Amino acid sequence: MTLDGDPGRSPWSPDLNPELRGDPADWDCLPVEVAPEVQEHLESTIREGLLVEPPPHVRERHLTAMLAARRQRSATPPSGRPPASPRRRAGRRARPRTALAGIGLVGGIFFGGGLAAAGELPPPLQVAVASVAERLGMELPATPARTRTRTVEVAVATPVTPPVSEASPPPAMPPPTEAPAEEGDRGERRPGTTAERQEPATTGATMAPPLAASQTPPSATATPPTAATPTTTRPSTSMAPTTPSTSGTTPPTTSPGSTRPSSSTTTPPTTTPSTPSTDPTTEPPSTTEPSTDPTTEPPSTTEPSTDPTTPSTTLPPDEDGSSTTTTSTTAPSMGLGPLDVPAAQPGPPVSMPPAGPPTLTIPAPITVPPMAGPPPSHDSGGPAADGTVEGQAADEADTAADAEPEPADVEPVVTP
Amino acid sequence: MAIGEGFDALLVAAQRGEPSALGALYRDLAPAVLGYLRGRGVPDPEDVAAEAFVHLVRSIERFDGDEAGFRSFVFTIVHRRMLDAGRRARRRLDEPWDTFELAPAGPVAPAAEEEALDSLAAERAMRLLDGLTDDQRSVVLLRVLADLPVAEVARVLGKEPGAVKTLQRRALASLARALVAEREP
Repeated sequence: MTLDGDPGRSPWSPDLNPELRGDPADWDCLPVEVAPEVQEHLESTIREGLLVEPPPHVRERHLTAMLAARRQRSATPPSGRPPASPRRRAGRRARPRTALAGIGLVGGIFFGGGLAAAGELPPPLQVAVASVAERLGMELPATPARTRTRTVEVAVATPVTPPVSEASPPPAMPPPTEAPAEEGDRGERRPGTTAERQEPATTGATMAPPLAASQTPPSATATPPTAATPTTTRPSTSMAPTTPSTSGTTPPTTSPGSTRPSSSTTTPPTTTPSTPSTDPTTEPPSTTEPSTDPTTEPPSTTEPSTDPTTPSTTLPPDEDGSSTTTTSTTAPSMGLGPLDVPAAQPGPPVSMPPAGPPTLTIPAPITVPPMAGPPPSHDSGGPAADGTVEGQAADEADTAADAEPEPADVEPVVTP
Repeated sequence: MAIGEGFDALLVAAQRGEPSALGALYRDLAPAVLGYLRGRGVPDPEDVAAEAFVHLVRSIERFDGDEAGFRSFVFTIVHRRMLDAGRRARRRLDEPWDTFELAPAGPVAPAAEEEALDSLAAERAMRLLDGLTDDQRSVVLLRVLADLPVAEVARVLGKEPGAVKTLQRRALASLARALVAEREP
């Protein structure tokens, strides 16, 4: 093989590769076999020259280092790790504290955030947190949760509680002039009526005097609240927006059941047995009357009456949130009177719809007019013959309230 | 050179930490270790040997095998300590001139060189080894001084046995040429 086509010229000629001239055995890439005697001579030369005993001082130093390493190793734990330095041990001790502090901090942040989201923080703190969260783009309730929760409780409890007025027929009713005014603040006045009805229940129809005395509305016409100004002095007036446009004939959104607990506080269960005995279908009063907790009703039932004749809004609230002065005026209209209605009391027969949604337990002589027509007391605006007409009106109002779905939640009204 | 049959008992005693056993092992291994380090041109072979023996004491409990394996184990430690010393020396050479004193030039430290040159044999051995590469020198030294087989040499150096054989062959050829050249006037 040639590079330039000349068959007589080798590619490894000195002209081409001058560095490759010489004996190929000298090339490192082509090792030659060394004779055994030469190999023995080389090995002996290397051993004699390099295998030398270390000097005594070097030996002593090496052995000392080895023993020191041995002692250090025996002192170390079996894991082989060197003993931790004091600084590292301090770091290990500080680690749990740091972890605990971190966990506590994170937990506090979550707990505080949860309280802020639920609105359970103290009012100033809640407002501050809400303002800060609003800057960050989050919405947190700025009002304390107690006001809102109370309102929500009332709003939720309203449709659930069965109407109390249906348990017994309406008793002797107040003068007809107060009949239209009752419906605006019926819930607020119920406790007073119930308290006063207890005595007549046992004694008969002696309830009229206290009712009449309390029914004199001092400022019924003087303070005509409107739907635009439903605010009152109580935070529980949050119910007001639910009945802003109620007129004298519009039934209030507050069902009697929600206001019933307040009335039951003063009403012993022993007063009712007289009325259910007349009708077997009548529900026992003990079952219809809710708990006797007085704290639940007053603040929630103080809704501003949209009726100009309602005097309840002008009255200042009490300590416990119950207004005793205003309750007496609305008591007849709430239909709570049936407790003291004697069975033989003559009154205009009111026809009651048999298939009404609420099971009205009305004594036999009382008949409720159909729901389509307005109650006679409302139409005339005059006094009814007895309390049964007003009780029927309250029932109708309750029925209408049941028919119309109430808003689930009520906007809280915060009074400064 | 070799301990022989008493190696197992000596190893157990050394693993327990008995100074006599450790001393016996040191006396058996120290000449080969120091010779290997000198033959590789380590500037300070005694310090590197001290590091290697200290590391041996710390890790001798993990060893389980015969004498050949133990020698391979020891020279593996020595080889790695030597490489670490070379890295440290190179880092020192990278330091600025005015802040660090350079190590003396030459493959052998002055003290070791003096000891080696005390005898003609040592001088001759070093002169022969000068013409070898690092790998060739390692193979020859491990094969000659440590009496390690090819497989163990390959394990110590981290190479294939075939590569070790090739390195050994070339190293011997180079040594033979150097020996012939030494005899020629």
